Amino acid sequence: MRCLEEGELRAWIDGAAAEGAAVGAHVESCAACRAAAEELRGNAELAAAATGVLAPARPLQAAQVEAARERVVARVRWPAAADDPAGRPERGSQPAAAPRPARRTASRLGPRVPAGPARGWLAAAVTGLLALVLVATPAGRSAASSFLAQFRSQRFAVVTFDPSQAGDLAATLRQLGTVHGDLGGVEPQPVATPAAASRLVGFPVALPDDAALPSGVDPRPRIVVSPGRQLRFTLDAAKVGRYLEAHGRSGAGVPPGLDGATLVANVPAAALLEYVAADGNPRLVVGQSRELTASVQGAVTLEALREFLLDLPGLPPQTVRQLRAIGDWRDTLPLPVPADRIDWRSTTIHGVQGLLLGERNGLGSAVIWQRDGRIYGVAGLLRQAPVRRVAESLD
Amino acid sequence: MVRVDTRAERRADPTRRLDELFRRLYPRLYDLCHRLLVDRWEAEDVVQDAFLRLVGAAVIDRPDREVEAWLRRVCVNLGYNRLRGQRRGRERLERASAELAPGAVATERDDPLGSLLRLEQQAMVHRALWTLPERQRTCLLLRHAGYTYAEIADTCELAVGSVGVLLARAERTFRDSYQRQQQGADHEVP
Repeated sequence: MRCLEEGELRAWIDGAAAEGAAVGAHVESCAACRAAAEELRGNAELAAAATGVLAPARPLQAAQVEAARERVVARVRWPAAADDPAGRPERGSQPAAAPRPARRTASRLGPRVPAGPARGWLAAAVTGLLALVLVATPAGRSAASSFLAQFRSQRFAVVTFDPSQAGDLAATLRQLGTVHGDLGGVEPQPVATPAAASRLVGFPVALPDDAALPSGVDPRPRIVVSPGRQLRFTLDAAKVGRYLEAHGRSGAGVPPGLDGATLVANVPAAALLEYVAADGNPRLVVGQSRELTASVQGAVTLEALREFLLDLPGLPPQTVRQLRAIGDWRDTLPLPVPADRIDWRSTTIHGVQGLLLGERNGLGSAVIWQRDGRIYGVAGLLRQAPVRRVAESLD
Repeated sequence: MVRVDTRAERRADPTRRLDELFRRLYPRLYDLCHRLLVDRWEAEDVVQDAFLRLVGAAVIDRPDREVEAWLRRVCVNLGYNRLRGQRRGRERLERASAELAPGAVATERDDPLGSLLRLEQQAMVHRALWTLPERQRTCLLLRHAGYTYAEIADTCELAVGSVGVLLARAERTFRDSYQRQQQGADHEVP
């Protein structure tokens, strides 16, 4: 065999040569080709080792792939194929495809978030977390099941919902039992200083670094505190029975012990720092609170109750699937996100996993994370990078 | 058993096809784009963008091998576009590395020194890679992300026989350039 071109030798090293055995035999017997192959092998090994540092530090988990897939599927607009109805999935006909008028104020993650420019984001991040989680009925109804018994929020998981399906939460919950407490959120009270806010929330309120603040905002924030509160939701077997009957499942029994079981959610007090632009409107809001906890009272097992709620008729199957997919549901707070308006991705902030959210229209961004038993959120009418900068500077 | 993958079947359920392609290809495409962009978000964005472009592209009805090559090609092109848009990724890397310098805010608080070293290492590798012609660089990245010669040829629209030559040249240039970097020579990227 003739001496080999270096391309052939290089392919042979990777076992990709057309006539590998012949090349091998030649390299064995030819000192020049052997030397050339050694050099190429050394170069290849160096390149492999050096470029290895460019690979992701951690391989993707199956759940991350699934979350990414959900994000893509939520954004897909299948082209219309009039001649081929089978080629056009249902998604294309969902209202999510309809254009929406742009909003100047930061849009809210859910319809029940307290009003006020930019505060919607923050409330989403920090204050009315439970209200937020329960915001989208019937989606929220199933989200509630994740709070059952000794729930302690430690991380978030996004659960997408279709805003057009969002109804009145309180009304729906009342079809299943009795609600005590204000689901809609409480108006925050202004306080004078960070120290006063710290006393009210029960931990030292962290302030962002002035240098990290976006230009054009007053570096002295308006500070408000929304008080902590307890929400109680007591299941009523008779009501549940009627609900099941109304949804065509009259034969279904209510598990023993379910009647009177009470979900108790402790929504923590939250401090909000509002950074105001020259026009007087908040442009950036930093919120923080202790973690949200919940427990169940009554003679029902956690799993039975969760299963029962997730199995209720009338829930959007996609939402149920997402909720079921949350592995650590005892400490993962489902965060309902209207997928047609908000993009999100997981991120690392202060060394922990958080969520970065952005409005499709590019107007608003938020980052939410939980660390050392506290929930933090930064939101603003800003792009993601400046919001992140503020979040990272929080200390 | 041979998987039946007729055009009619692919057309019959495009959502299922997208799901199947995504689950199968996303992790490796993400790995590839991460090597190119050295940024988790950017890499995720690019791969997801590529899949969004696949919807509505005629290629989605083609056999898997063609779809896979198309996705790799789109990912690589989108990645390069982003890097150009950012006036070169290495500047971003260097900025990130500067931000992680002692006294600055560390994004990886658990191990800031390790993160800093890693970023410096990544910046050095990128500088060396950017001394290569684009096609050679792409071949090298693809190969060391684990793609076969046939897959590299499909992606770069080359004959399979050319892949070895390009790789051999790419790796030699890379070695020289990388070693200069390591020796501290300030090798400016064109």
